[in-house]
Amino acid sequence: MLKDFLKTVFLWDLVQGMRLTFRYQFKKVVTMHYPDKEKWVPYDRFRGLHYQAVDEEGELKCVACELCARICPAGVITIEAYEDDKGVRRPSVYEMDLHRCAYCGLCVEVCPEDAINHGAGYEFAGFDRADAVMSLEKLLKNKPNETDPEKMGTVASARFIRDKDGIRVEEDGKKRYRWW
Amino acid sequence: MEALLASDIFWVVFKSFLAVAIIFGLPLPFTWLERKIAGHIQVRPGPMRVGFHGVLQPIADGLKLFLKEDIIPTGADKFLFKAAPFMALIPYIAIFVAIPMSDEAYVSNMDIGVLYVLAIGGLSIYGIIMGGWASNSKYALLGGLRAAAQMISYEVAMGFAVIGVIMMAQSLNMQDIVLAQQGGFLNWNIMPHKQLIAFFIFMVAGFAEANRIPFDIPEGEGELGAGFHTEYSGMRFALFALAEYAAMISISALAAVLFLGGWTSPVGFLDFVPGIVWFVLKTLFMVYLFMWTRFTWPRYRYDQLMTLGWKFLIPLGVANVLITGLFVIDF
Ligand code: SF4
Ligand code: SF4
Repeated sequence: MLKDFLKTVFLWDLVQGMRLTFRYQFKKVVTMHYPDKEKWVPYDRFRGLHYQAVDEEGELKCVACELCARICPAGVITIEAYEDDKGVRRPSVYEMDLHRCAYCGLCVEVCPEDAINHGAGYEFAGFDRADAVMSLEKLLKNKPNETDPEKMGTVASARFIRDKDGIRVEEDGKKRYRWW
Repeated sequence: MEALLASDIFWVVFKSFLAVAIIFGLPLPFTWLERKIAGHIQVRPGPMRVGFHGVLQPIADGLKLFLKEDIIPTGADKFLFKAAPFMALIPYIAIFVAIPMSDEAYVSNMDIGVLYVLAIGGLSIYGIIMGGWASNSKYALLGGLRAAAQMISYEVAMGFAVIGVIMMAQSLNMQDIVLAQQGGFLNWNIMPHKQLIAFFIFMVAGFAEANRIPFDIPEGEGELGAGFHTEYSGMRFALFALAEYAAMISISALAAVLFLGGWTSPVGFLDFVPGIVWFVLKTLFMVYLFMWTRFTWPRYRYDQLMTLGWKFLIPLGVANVLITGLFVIDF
């Protein structure tokens, strides 16, 4: 009884809280310093910005079958096909309006040629809505996922770059660690 | 005689300017410090991007606030609305006049220093009430009313706490109070055989006076928007923030003087260190206490706040005065 009373008067529970927060001040900070110094490297299962794969000869894999465009629940993909000089059907236009994309992965799953894939990209902020509409050219440039088990799922040291090509964060490869 | 008078005036003006400059200058580094402490308590780094470890962040913030539009809401009482932030800030600057920073560094050594400090400190609440009233907004008005209620309940407790100290020193003069605590930390008023209970009451009341967590119900974001400064923007808002920091600094300084032995050194062999260093260290420690608690404790509910004030602190204060009287009385 008296003990409880004294605890109330001298705010004992608050004192306990202060002890806890005092100790927390000396713990290691868990923040990832993105975009200034560090960057997250996703796992290979990560469903990021799409890319178009090419085969060993550097030839586009896509045969413009339009299955991806058809299954996409958000109507992201627009395809126009033509027949190239070898008589193969190829896309003349392959456009993805990624503002609408839900990254559900259906297009990747349905593709018979493994042409469209999810990549590692997650930085595509832009000053214009058109920046998120990816043409075939852009889709070919996008980066595939990291497959090296040493590298994926790590925090890599990086540089923040702002120049005439836009703003981006690039790994400088100096350091990487697992955040847990 | 003439020359002496001129130099006297010069010194008073110089010291006053210095005190004002300190109070205006300190909140900048303190906002940075507070955010850093907040960060590390929450296991994150706090401001990092502007300057080395974010030291220039307060300047960026100040610049931003300076460039903001100064909005006066329709239906507001224009004069009161504009005057309120100054009214909140000036008393805390005035408090510093009476606080002795060392045996020589003070603006004025008043014989009624403690009374002056309590009286002036109580004035600043008018700034908050005025701000709340003049804004023509229900949230601001409620915030102002809460501030008034809080001030009334906690001024009393704070007064009782200070009475204990005055009884120990047998004087209202701040220098005398410091001198009474001379001779090592065992003589400080914070020690259990002196005025530990008064210190506790003083600090709780001080948190309430400064409107800091856990007693920041006048601005209670959860229920009142931003309380009394809901309608303020730009520089006027910054002045309210400045007033909060000034309050924190002056209450810390006051606690250092009244309970932590002011500018006296904690142990005899450290006497050669100038008094002002001790004073600054003690004040900084108290400021740290303010920041540390801010990121530890939740806000008190309004009725809990009143219960704590009237049912615990004031009886405790009275008991403390009576017990102190028993020991101090000269038969
Ligand atoms: S990406 Fe795959 S599914 Fe889509 S059109 Fe090309 S081949 Fe067909
Ligand atoms: S991931 Fe889903 S939403 Fe995005 S393009 Fe593929 S099918 Fe459409």
